[in-house]
Amino acid sequence: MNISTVNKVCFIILAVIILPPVSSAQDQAPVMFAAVSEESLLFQEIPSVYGASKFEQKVTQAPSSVSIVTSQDIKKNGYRTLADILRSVSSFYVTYDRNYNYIGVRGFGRPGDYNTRVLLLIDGHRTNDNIYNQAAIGTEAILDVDLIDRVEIIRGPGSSLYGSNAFFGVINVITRRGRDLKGTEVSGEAGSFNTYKGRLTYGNRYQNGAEAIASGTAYDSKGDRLYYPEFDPANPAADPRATNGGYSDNSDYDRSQNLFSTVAFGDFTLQGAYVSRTKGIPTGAFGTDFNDARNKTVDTRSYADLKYEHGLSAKTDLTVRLFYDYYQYTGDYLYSGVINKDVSYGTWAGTEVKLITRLQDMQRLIVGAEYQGSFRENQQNYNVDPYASGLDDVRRSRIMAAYLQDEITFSKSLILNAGVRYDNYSTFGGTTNPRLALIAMPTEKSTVKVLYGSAFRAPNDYELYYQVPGLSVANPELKPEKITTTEVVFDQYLGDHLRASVLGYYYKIKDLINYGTDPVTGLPQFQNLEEVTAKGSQAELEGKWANGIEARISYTVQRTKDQLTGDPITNSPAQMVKLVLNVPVMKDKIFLGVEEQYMDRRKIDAGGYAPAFAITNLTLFSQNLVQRLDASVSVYNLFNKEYGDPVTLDFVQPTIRQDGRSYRFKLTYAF
Amino acid sequence: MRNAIVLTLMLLALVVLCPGAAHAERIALLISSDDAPYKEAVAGFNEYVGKQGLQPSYELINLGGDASKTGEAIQKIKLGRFDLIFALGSLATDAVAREISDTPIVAGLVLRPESLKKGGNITGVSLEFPLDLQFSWIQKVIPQARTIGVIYSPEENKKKIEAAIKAAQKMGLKLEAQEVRTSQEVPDVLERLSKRAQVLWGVPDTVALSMQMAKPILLFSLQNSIPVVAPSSMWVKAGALYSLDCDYKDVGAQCGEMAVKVLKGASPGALPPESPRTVNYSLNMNTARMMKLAIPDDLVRGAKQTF
Repeated sequence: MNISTVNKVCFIILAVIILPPVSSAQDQAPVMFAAVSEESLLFQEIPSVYGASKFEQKVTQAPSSVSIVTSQDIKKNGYRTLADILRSVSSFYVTYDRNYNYIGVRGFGRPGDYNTRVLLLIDGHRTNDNIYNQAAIGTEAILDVDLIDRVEIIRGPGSSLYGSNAFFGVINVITRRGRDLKGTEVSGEAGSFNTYKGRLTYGNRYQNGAEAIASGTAYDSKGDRLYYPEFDPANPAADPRATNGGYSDNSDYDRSQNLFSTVAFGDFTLQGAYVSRTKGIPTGAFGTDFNDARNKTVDTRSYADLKYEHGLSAKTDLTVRLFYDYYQYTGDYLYSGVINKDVSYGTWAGTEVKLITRLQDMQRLIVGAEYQGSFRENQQNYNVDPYASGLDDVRRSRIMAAYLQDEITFSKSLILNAGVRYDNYSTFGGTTNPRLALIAMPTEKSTVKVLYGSAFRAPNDYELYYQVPGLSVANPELKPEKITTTEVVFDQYLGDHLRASVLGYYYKIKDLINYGTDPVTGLPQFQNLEEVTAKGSQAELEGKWANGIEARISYTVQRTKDQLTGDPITNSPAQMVKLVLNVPVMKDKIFLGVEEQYMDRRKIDAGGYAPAFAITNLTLFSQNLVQRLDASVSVYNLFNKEYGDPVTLDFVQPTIRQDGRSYRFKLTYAF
Repeated sequence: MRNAIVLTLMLLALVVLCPGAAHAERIALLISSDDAPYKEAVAGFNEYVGKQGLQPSYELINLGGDASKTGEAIQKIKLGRFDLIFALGSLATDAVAREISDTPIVAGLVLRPESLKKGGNITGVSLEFPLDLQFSWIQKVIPQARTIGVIYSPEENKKKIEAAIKAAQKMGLKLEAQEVRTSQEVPDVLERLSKRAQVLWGVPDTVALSMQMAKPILLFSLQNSIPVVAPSSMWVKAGALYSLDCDYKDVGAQCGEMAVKVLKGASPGALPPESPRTVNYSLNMNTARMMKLAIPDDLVRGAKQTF
C-alpha cells in the first residue's frame, strides 16, 4: 500500500468520524422500562463469573488481536520477567544475548533492535526511552513482575493512537493497586546460578478514598559459567581473543534494584518508578576482551507521572497527564585492557490531554494531543585511560501529536473503530497513521474483525547520530520506518468454557533501517534500506473451567520475505507452538503449571540456521496452604534442552546458548 | 406449566377442604408468573389468612410473564366481583392498579413502592428494603467503605437515587451516582467509578443492572476489588459480595395481614405500603477472600446462604 492509499484511508476515517452515523430509531432508543422483566432481576439465575475470563469483553471487542496475562497467570507459571510473559503468548518470541532480551513478533525479531518496534506502557505511561527507544523487558525492566495486575498484549499497528514504536504491537502493563494488597507483602526467592531476589511491598486503600502502593525490589544473580568454543584456545578456528579454555567466569552477573510507587487521591494519580540494572557481558560481544568481568552495562531508568482524570459530564471524561522521564546507559567495554565507555543520557518531559466522550449513545469518541520535549539526548564514547573521545553528541528534540478515534456502534452486532493520528517530529517532520477496524458479532458467541492500519517507528538517536571516527558514520537524514498491516480475526466461543481464535495477517514494511555503507566514506551507516513483507496466521484455543483448569494452546505459522533478496529474514521462525496448562492439584490451593514452547529453526545473520527446539517449564504454586503464604517451585527447561538464540554480527558466536535446566523457589507472605 | 398446575391444585384443595367456602370472601389471585418466589408468597398469604379463621375462596390467574394476557385477566376479575385482589409482581400489580378502582388491592413482590401508591384502593409490600437499612448493612459488612458507587437509569430510578443520596449523607456515606441511558454506557461508567467507589450498590434497574450486564459488572467488581452489594442472592452466588434478601413466604404473610384488615373493613388507602419485615442475607465468602475483606464470624453464621 503506497502513501496515497494511506492518505485515502485517513480521509475515509476522518469522514466516518465527522459524519454522524445513520441508524434506526430503534437503535437509538434507550431500553424502556419493562415491567414484565423487573422481578426477574432478582429471581433469575446468573451465571457465575469465577470460571470466566476477567477480561473477555476487552479481548473480543478490541479493534485488535489481544492477549491478556494476569497476575494469577504470572504466579501459576512462574514468570520471572516480562520476557517470560511474552514468550508464553502466541505470535511473540524473545531472544536473549545474555545482556538484553529482544522481542520478535509475527516473524520479525531483529536481534539487537532493543525492542524499538514494540511500545511498552506502564499504566499508560510510555517507557521506551528517548535515545534508543528501548522497551526494557528483562531484569532491566522498570517494574518487578510481582507488581503486575495484568499485561494486555495488543497485536498489530497501534500508531493511530500511540505514535512511534507501536509498530508490531503495544504491551500495556497494568499495575497492582493499594486495594489489591490491603497490607504488606514480603517476597523472597532463590534460584539457580546463585540468584536471589527480595521484595517488600505495602499497599492499601483508605477510608477517605486515597490509595497507595510502594514497593522495593533487590535482585542479584551471579550468573552461569558459560563455555563458548569460539573462545576456546583448543579450537583451531578460535577467535584471537580466546582464553580460559573458552569459559567465561563470573561475567554473567546480573544485579538490579527497583522502586515503584503509586498514590491516588480523588482525580489525581501520581506514579514514580526507578530501576538500576548492572549486567556483565560474558560473550565477548563487540570485539571486547573475553572473560573479563569488567565488561558490563548499567541501565538506569526512572519516571514520574501525574495523571488527572475528571468526568466533565455524564458522558465526557478528561485525562491530563504530565510526565518526566530519565534514562542513563553506561557500557564498559574492554579492548586489550583499555576501558571504552559508551554513555548516553536522556531526560524528557511532556504532557498528554485526552477527551473521551459518548455521542448519541452509540459513538465513543477519543480526541487527544501530546507534546514531548527531550531536553537531553546525549551520547558519548571515550576511552578512559588514556583518555580519547570518539563521540560527544548533544541534542534536543520535540514531538507533537494529535489523534482522533471513534468507535461507532451501528447495532449490537456491528462496531466500526476508526482512528487517525498525526505526529510531528523536530527531526524528520510529520507522519500520519490511520487504523480502521470493523468488528462484527454475527452471533452472541462469534466475533469477526477486519483490521487495517499503518504504523511508524521514528529513527532513534543512536541510528541518527551515533558515529565513531573511522568506525561508523551518522545519518541525520533517516526517515521513519513504515508498516501497513491488514488482518482478519475470528473469535468463536465454544460452549461456556472454550474460546477459539483464528487470525491471518499480511504486512509490508518500508524504509526499514539497517546498516548500509556510506557512499562517501565507505564506512557503515544506518540507512533506510530494506523492504520486508510477511504473511502469517495463528490459531489459538483457550479454555477456562470453574474447577480451576485453564489451558491455552496456539499454533503460529508465518512467512517473511526480504524484498531485495526474496529470502526469509533472519531470526524468523516459520512455526511456533505454545501450550500453557494450569491444573489445580488441590482446589484453590495448589496448582500445577505446565508450559511447552516449540520454536522452528531460525536463519541467522552469520549464515545457516539456529536449530528448532522445544522446551518445557513446570511450576508448582500454592496459595494460602499456610494462611497468607504463597509458595512456588519452578523448573525451567525441564529436559535440559540445549538451544541457542540468533544474535547480531557483533558477536563471534552465531547463536548464544540459552540456560539449561534451572530452578526457582519463591515464598510470598502477606500481613 | 407444571408449576401452574401444582399451584392451581394447591388452591383448589384449599377451596375444597374449607367447608362453607361458598359463603366466604372471594379473592382474585393475580400472579405475574409462577416462579418459586410467587409460589412462596402465595403459600405465606394462604397460611396467614387461614390462621385468622377466614375461609376465602380463591381464583388464580397466572399471567405467565406475558403482558398480552393482562386484558383478559382484568376482564375476568371485573366480571368475578371479588372482595379483594391479591396481586403479585409488577406486571400483575400495574395492570390491576391501572384498570380497577372499585375493588381493594393488596400487592406484593413489586420492586417499586410507587406501584403501591397508584390509587386509594391499593396497598401492599414491596421488595425494597428501606434505604437507611440498606446503608447500615453496607456499614456493617464493609465498614471501611465511605464512597458507594451506583449506576442507574434516570427513567427508572431517579427519585430513588435522589432519596438515597440524602439517606447516605445522613449516615456519613457518600453516594457516587452515575446515570446510564443505555447498557452500552455501563462499561465507561464503571471505569469512572473504579477510581472512587469502594463498594458498588446494585439497585434493581433494567438498563444498568440487566441480566446481560451481570457478567461485566461482576467481572468489573473482581478486577477492581470493589464488592457488589447485590439485589438478590442469585447475584451473590455468581460473584457479588452480599445481598439483602426477602423472605418471600413472609412477604406473602405480611400481605395476608393487610388483606385481613381490608376484608375486615379497613380502606387500603389507609394502610401505608410496607417494606419486607424480615431481612435475610447471603454472603459470598469466595469473593470476600479474593478482595481481602474480613467478614465478622457472627455475620457469616447469621447468613441464610453462604457461597
